[in-house]
Amino acid sequence: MTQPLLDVKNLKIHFPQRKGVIKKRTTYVKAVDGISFTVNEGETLGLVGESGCGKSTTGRGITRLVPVTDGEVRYEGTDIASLSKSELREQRKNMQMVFQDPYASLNPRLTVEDILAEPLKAHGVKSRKERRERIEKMMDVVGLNRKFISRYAHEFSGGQRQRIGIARALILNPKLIIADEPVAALDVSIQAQILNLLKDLQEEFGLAYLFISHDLSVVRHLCDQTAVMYLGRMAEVGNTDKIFENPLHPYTQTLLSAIPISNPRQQKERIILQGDVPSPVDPPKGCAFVGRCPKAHDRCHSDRPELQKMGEDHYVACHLYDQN
Amino acid sequence: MTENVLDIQDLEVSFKSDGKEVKVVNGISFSIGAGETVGVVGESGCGKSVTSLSIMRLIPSPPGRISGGKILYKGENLLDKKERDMRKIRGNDISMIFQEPMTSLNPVFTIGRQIDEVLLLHKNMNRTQARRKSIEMLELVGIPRAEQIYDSHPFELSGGMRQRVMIAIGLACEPQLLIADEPTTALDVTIQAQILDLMRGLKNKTNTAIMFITHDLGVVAEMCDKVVVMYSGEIVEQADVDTLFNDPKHPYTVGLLGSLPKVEEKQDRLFSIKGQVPPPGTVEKGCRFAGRCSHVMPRCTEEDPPLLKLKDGHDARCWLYDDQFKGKEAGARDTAAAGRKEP
Repeated sequence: MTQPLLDVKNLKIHFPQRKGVIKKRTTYVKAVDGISFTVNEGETLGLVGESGCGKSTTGRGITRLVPVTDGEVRYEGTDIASLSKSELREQRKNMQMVFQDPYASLNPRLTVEDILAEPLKAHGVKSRKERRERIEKMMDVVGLNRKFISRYAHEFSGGQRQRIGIARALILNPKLIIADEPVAALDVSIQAQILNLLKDLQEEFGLAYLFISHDLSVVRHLCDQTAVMYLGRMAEVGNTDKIFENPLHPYTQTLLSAIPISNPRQQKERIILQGDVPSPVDPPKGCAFVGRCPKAHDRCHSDRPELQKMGEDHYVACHLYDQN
Repeated sequence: MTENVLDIQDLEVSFKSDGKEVKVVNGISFSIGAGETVGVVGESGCGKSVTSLSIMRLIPSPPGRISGGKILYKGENLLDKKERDMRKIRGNDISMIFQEPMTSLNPVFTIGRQIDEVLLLHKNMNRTQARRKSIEMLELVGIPRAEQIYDSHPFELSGGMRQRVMIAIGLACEPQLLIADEPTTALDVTIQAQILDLMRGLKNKTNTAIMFITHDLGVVAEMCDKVVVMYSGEIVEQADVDTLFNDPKHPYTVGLLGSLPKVEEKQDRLFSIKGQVPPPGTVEKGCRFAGRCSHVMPRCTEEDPPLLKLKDGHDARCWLYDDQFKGKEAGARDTAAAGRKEP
């Protein structure tokens, strides 16, 4: 079998929180608590879950924008967590991020040219002329008019800003793009434009995406593989069609049933959950979902379920499917 | 015929910017009957929130100004009311739920105090009665341990809980009309499902009319009886929910529905409307959607299309449906309606 482009094994990211009068007592926010997945070349993995489930932290951990507590992140075989600063910098050429908020992630004092030149400068493209050429080419690729090269970010609409964000990520020819909710802040008609652009770019450059989103319909549209996270853990991973057509984990089932369908003739039975997501400081001992799960039984309170294979390319972490 | 709870007629709202007055709501009319839920959809900047703020007379003035039209609440024009009378209506007859449950509650007062406030103001209750009613409201919106939550502060609650509190405040005086401005946009899907379920239940119980402002067409399909689609300050189409989703006529509505990724089926490519919404005040004549429309005709850039009545309760603002053009443009019209299925 070929080596996956990105191989994440048992990733843990915990944030310490000091409490008490003399700040001696330390508790940990277990934002990501032992998750594993792989992304193959040219493929898209959708990472879905609700706020606070650790999906964004996972993305940031992979690029080492936040420190990794434990586990391995291998990019083409090299362990990212063990790289020195200069090696990491070199490695970041290969994986770039696109952020959610196109208003906050671009410096308002820089022009499009400045914004797109920054990664080139940081990675040693010294000739100004070459930089300009590459920037103009990239603007064509993402569908920005070349004439806008000396405009400032605030002069653009949300959709265009997101195009700038994508151009900035692509300009170093990475193989992997980590996109953290890239369309969440956009209007529907603009969202469709950006999703189509992402698809086109993937075909053109053979990009792999780690696509982080809370919107299941977007994930269904764009992703080959889907990973559902809940409270820092993996609930279900596998082929997107399989997960959407035959969700196994009660959480995935709920999530899917909660999406409003844009057709009044196709309304369905909804599973309405009780309560909110528990705090990641003190997660339940057994399954993370146990407090809200309609099908919880004794074992769920005491043992933490591990991912188990349920068929070709479909894994679920739930005691309902235990053999014994 | 029963009287409508709300009747908006030719409403115009302008904002002053750079010394120039720009119309952001340009002559819209629609009505909401008792117990009816009307969805107002559109993208950012289409004027949907400005419309709702106008009903409450909460447009910041200056720079904003309601420059024309009428807003009839049970037959009385709200625009003629004195500020003092408006204050009696707000929160009592008409109340509003906002998008951001995090910012629309006051962080320094307890939940209880914020619900009590409306009751003390409008319902002549004393503190004990208000407290009892508030706790009852909290229970109604499905908050567990209501007595404890009554004494909590907003920061102690999650987003979903805060939105429930907002709904409790909104419904405390049993309003005739509830304006919900993107009430679930900031929430996760499972929490959104809880809140929508709650609103549906309450509507059936209290027969409140709801104006539901959202950009999420899925939520509209699920919640509303009638839908008003807005684009650039105008109504481009309105119909009952079934007609709008299954037989949309205006190219913008068709495009909007086509650009939604669907969870039920896998699509290869999304239909996308090219370009972007023109900034208010930039389209001088003709249809405001003409620049992005795939069925644009010469007439569209010359003459502003009126809201044409297609059949009872279904209107669209598009020259494709003008009677004079019937034979000639029938072909174009069929493609417009079929646009959803285009790849």
